[in-house]
Amino acid sequence: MRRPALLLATLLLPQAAYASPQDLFGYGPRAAAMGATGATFLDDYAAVHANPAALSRARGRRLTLGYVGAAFRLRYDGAPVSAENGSAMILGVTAELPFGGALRHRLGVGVGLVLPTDVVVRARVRRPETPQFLLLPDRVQSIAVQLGLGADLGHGLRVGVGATALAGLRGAVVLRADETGQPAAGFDERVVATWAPIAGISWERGPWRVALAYRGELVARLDVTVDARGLGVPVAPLNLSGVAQYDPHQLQLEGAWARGPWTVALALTGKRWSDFQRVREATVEGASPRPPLTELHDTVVVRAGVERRWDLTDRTGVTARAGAFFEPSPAPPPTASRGYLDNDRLAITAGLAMHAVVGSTRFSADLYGQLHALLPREGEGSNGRAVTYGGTVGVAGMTASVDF
Amino acid sequence: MRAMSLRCNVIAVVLGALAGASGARANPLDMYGFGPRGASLAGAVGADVADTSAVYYNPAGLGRLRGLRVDLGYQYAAPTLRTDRRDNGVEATRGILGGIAAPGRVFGVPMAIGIAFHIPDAGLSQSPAPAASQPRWALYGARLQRAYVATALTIAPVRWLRLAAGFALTVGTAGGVAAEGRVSTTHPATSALSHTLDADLTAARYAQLGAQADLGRGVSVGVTYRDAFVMEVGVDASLRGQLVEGPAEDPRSPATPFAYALRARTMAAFQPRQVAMSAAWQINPRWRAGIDLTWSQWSRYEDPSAPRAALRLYDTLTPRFGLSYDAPLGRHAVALRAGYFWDPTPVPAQTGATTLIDSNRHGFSVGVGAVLRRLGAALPGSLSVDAFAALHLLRPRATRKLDPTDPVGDFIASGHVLATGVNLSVGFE
Repeated sequence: MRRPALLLATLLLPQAAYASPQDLFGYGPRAAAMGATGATFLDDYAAVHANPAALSRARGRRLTLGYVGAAFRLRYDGAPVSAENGSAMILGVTAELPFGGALRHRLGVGVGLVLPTDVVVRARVRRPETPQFLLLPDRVQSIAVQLGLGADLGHGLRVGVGATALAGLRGAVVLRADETGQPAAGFDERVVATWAPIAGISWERGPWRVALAYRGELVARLDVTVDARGLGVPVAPLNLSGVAQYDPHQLQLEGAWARGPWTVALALTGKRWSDFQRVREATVEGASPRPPLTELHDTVVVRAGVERRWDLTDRTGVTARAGAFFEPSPAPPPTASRGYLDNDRLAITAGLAMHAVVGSTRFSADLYGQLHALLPREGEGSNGRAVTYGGTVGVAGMTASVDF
Repeated sequence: MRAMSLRCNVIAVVLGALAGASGARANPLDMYGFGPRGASLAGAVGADVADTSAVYYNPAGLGRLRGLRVDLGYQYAAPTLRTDRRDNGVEATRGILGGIAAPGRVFGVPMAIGIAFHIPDAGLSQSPAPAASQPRWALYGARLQRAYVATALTIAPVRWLRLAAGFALTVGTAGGVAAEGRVSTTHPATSALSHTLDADLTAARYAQLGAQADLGRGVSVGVTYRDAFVMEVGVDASLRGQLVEGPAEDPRSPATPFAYALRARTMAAFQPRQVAMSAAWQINPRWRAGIDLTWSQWSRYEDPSAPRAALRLYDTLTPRFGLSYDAPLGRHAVALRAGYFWDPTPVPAQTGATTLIDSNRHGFSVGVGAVLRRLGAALPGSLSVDAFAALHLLRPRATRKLDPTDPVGDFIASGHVLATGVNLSVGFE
């Protein structure tokens, strides 16, 4: 019994990429260490994702460079699933727009780039009956290009807008017989940009802060058509398409209390997964089985984070951070005909930061880590019998920032 | 073909390396310039560029900035390229471009960081793979539909010297698609095909380095290095299954296996290693002249579909000249600019099986700019508007094939490109 299970698990392929790494783990070292909160208190490049309104807190200019990696330990039916680890380089810039007069200290911009070391977007679309983790692990293999603008309207009210961008692919292959009857082919492909809006608003009074951030649906598709009619295959052009990346519509409501060295944040993130209905389309409309619906349902993620800063001298300090979040799975248990696997995820997060002012230059370094437990779950395997699946995910990152 | 398929028990056809030809300029900036100021001065700005286009022309120029700067513009280039006076319908290049640059100090040393981009309207990249023998304009068309995103960091260790390093990235693809199942030749609606898709959009990064030095008396010199990169695109497509006479779901229907496999490999983009030596002379407060000489190592170009000996490109030297006149209008200013470059073609005479079309290029450009300073308490810096227009003339070039039966035959190539663009900048000096 063990051997077939192992064989099956070996055949499992680390699967497509639905939702982005910033959606999975949070964005930026401070947010990622505090349970992926941040809509209320961030003031660096990570605000382009969490809440662009917070960019209005930027003072001067800050450059951040870093590196993040994620490792997966997934199991299916008692056997490990091969899953490629992911890593990415981080580049972030924030700057106050130094207008004068009534606009002084009101506007800030931010740019964030998370560039995977291997790819920009990874897409693996398998047959629906093949057991496959739907939302992990290739999700980390996705570029994040984000920019935003924040404005301080006064009276504690801030607003911001931004965008996040991805890439998709359109291609066409035409197979035919040439004048001599020999097979010939033509090929054309185009990488296209896809983007989604981000908007946010926050309000603060005394130590209390509340924020609402919206992130739009981000879909990157890979659409390749193959027309083989010229070779005598009597079917319409094949539509070999699939969704490479999918971030659902999201609305995050966050409240925080920040006084002195302490910051405490709680957040709820609603995710509209039910709009993501199909991973793929029929290979040939009318001449292929209709791929099953994902039957995802909307979810609400609960997040919490805390931070404590110690000023060692008037020019140096350290900060400790911790947090957690619980992300329920949007996917129903798998069936024999729909092998989409996903688990509820409980993540524990922590981080440490140090800062120093040397001369007139402020430096900071941030370390953070996350441990995600994919809570064990039971479903129907491809052979119709019950199977269990789950695992863990580890994330670690570090960044260095300089104000200049 | 269908009759042949049905007669065979197994049909296995491998469509070998498909095309793979002719990647050339990796981005439209090498061809048309980045932004109105640089384009109107024919690219002769490497020694004194001082806006976000420095990320492309010479990242050391970011060190000249005295405040945060944001640029946003649009650029358009329409080629009219002909063979034997017939327009070849080469695609126009248009796209949004811009950047942000922020100067500051670390340990008292001036530094700056800049990010610049050019995003074509047609997408982030385009990689057609025509047949290897198909004549094509080597440096134009779809090959110029490629995004450019770059960043650079500059320091000024001493007052007269600026040093910079950065990288640019571009996007390609690698992967495969596969479909399999039963296809009914008599009842197509009963066919059952399914597919898988395994693809990566990949990123290529290449280094950009720059230096600028002020020699006094208004003279500046600069050197820029852009590394080479090759972006190969690969797509594997396979189609296999059974051709069925009768309902596909009926196991009794006579079936004939079939299998097709396609391996497409194309060089989507090739950028030659480039070194540009630049000089600029601020003759007086109004007049400024610039010169630039760019060496491009085209000889490293390899066409995957042609033997290297058959298609060995030449390295080129491109001289560029620019002249500008700044006229103060109170605290504001206007600028008039003009430039010229000569870009020799790297493509040798195409007398054999390959037919890359290109010709020496003369580029003439003019531009105008206005700088509005201190527009009020809210904007203590400046607001700039710039525009340019350029005409690139491709000298007529005759191609004579050695083989009189060559299907392409002899022809004369010629053409021109009209380019224009505008840019709006906000500077917080």
